[in-house]
Amino acid sequence: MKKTPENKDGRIRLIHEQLVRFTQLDFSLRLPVSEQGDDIDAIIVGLNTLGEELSAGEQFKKE
Amino acid sequence: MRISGAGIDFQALFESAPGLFLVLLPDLKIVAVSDAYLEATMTRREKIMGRGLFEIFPDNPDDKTADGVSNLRSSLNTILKNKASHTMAVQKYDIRRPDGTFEERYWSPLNKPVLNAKKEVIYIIHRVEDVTDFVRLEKKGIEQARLARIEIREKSLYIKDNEERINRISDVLLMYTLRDFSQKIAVSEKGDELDAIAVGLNTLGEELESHIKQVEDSNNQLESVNNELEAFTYSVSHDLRAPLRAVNGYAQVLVEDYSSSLDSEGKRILENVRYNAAKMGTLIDELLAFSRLGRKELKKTNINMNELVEGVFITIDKTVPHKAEIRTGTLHTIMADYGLIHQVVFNLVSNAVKYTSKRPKPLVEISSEEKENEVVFVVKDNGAGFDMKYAHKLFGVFQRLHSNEEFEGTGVGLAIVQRVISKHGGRVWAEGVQGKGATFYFSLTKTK
Repeated sequence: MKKTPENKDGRIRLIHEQLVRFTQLDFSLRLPVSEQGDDIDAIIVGLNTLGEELSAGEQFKKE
Repeated sequence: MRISGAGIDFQALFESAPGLFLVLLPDLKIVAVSDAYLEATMTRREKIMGRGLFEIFPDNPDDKTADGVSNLRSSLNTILKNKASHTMAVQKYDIRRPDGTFEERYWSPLNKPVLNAKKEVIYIIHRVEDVTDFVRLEKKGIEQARLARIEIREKSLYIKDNEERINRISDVLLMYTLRDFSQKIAVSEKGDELDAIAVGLNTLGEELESHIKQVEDSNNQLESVNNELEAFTYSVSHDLRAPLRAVNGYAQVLVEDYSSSLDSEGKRILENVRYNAAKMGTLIDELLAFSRLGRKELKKTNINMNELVEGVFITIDKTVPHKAEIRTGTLHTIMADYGLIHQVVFNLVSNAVKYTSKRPKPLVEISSEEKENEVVFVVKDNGAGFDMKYAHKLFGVFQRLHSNEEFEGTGVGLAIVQRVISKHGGRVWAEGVQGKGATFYFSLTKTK
């Protein structure tokens, strides 16, 4: 898991990195949720859940 | 004429007083003015002395709301009537510049009557304070407060707007999690970070939708190829039976009717023909059974596995001569197709019996264990075992790790096991050590 960046821009950059990885069908990246509990955190929680679901689906297909 | 007394020039004192003073007669004509007043109103003494107050200081004609003249007139009339001082509210009273234009000014006026012995008003002292700067500061403060209020309102609108956008993003993420990638997020014209995320998510949705479609297409293609292959296998197996029956039939005729014409070598060769024809018949039957599995629909029921295994033992005891000890623990109940699972257990146990047949104390153990989401059944023996490097070949059709001379078989039994379990959504695997035994596992989804 990546380290939580201190500023908002850094967190947005990480979200983009995660979105790009997902688009490349690599669902392994999880982002840290900060203690700020703001809108960005809400999106990160949603993206991490999506990553879990998609990687579970991929695993099932492999088996 | 200078007004003086006791050697003091009162006129000079009045005109130099640090305040804005104007002295009026009861008919509102100007009779005295302080220098400060002249300076503040940009007028000159000789231009205003003896003239009417409102002739010199009219309302700004460009200001339709100007009411300074009427307010001051009202105050002066009150003084003339009541003969008492009157303090006016702050007035907007624009001052005419020498060029004729007006300058916005705010005044705080006080009008005081000067009475004679008969208590008649003989003068009115009009004192004003120029509060323009104060009013401007106050107005500026009010404006700043207004702007601050607007900013707060806009900010709260922005937050509300953002909340809706984040809610939309969360909704779409949820839909994506449920494998619905048809939802798209509208990108605003703000071009902010939420828009960047929206663009990224829309792209992700398109990619995943396309990926899933590709997988579905591949699956459909694979299923179609599998169906064709099954149909081909069935057809070939079925069609091979007829010529094989003919070969076997003619061999039988030769044995029965022409045996006396054949020497011993001829008879041996003829027996070989019959033996191989019979073996080929068995292979074809197994292949047909295997291909039928693909077409068979599952009829799942609750299966007491201990009862099923007992049934398998009875069948094995009747069909396969053996001396193996078979131990069975308490097995888990499962939901599956009885006939097919019976076939699986029969194949595994009969294999175990076969491969332990050369042991002095052949032992087969059957057990089951419960995992998180599945029940795993285990058939363990102390037979011939196998080399783990060939484990991947165990479940292939016609794949055999032992020669027919060593242990008879067609190489279809374990392929059937795998196919049945796979059809149930389960898994099959095996572990073995050459010369020491093998353990076969199959798992089925836990009954809820």
